[in-house]
Amino acid sequence: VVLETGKIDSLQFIFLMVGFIMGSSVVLMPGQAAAHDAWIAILIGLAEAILFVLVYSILGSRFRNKTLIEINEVVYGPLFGKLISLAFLGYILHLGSLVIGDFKDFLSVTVLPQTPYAIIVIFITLVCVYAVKSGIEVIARCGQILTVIIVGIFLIAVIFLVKDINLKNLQPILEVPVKDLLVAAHGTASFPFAETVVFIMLIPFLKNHKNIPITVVKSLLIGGCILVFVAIRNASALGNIAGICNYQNFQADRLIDVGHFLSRMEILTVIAMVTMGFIKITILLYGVVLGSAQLLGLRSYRLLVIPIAILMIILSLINFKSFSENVVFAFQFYPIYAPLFEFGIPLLTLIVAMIRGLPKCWK
Amino acid sequence: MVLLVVIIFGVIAWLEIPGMVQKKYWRELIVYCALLLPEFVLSLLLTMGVNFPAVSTAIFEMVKSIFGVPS
Repeated sequence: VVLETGKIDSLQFIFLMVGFIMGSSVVLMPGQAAAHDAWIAILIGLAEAILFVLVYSILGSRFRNKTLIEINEVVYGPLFGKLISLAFLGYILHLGSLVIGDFKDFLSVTVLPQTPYAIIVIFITLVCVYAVKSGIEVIARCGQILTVIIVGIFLIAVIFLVKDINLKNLQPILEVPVKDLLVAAHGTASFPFAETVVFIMLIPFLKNHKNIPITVVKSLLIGGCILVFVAIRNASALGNIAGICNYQNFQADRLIDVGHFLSRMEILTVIAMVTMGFIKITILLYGVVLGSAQLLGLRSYRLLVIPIAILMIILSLINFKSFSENVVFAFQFYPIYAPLFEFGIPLLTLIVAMIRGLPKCWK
Repeated sequence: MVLLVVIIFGVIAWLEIPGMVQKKYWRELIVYCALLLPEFVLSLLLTMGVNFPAVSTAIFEMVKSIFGVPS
């Protein structure tokens, strides 16, 4: 049964991936453990992540019209394939709930302190539900328009912040011990770069199946460069406090004050961040919903959108008891746990497929 | 709040289930109900203030107790 008939072009795919990478990383900057050397950690993490994304993009280009769920069934057989797919979908579902949780924490700390958590997460997810129900083409068009607008907002924020930027704040370069830098770099590889593994669920809907790995790496590099740029801006504008700020972008944009009349611009950043979050949550929700429908052999994935969105909402509310638990999980556990699904499952599948010479028609 | 949860889930079911029955999507209906019913119960418990263990922290603690503390 063909569950999705929509098609997207390479450019839309690139925009979606850039939006996805910026997603929650504009809220919680990756590489924060490396303080003012975060930009170096992001660069190293980007290099590591290229290896990660190459694995799933090569897998996607071998099985051109199949998502990972269908690939697993072909490669491992129906039973074992379903088990591996279930683990992968569990990871995407959990990731979706973590991202919703990040936005819930961010909004309740910064702009909506009196609003109950449940209301924040319900309204964030409601928009995503509508987008996923509308199909992949609508999601792709949203990505195309919103990513351009948001990158524009970030550039405007940089221009307004120029007077506060002091590049000397980046010195001394490589002050962080090498081990800590590499740990931070691995953290940036697992969050956000390798999280793009969910795009393996979108690769079959590309109009042009040529050069899929190049398209994926290109998107990764664009997203990575934007993050490096943002990290340099934050570290040079915030100085010593960059390492201890939970929300660096928000904090940096609070400094904007043009001629004492153009200030309090951080609300623009909040809007931009929530919009990026919409793209990330939508893609994750789409991945889980489509994958679950394929796993269970359903005739439509749209019927699963609301139940799975509610599951994400409930999980996001009970994931952690406090923000500090979230931080400990993100820094100590996530860089170990996430690569199992981001890199481990696609790599294993690719190796088994190569050994078994699958798919038969692949040249 | 409990009433609100009941109304929300009622509206969701009222909007989606008749379509599935009309199209005779029985498999889809079973999956849909198997997901929605436990979610309804969980949501009710959450709104009544029942304390749930933190899921991600619990996974982390479990792995930590088996493999030790990652540094």
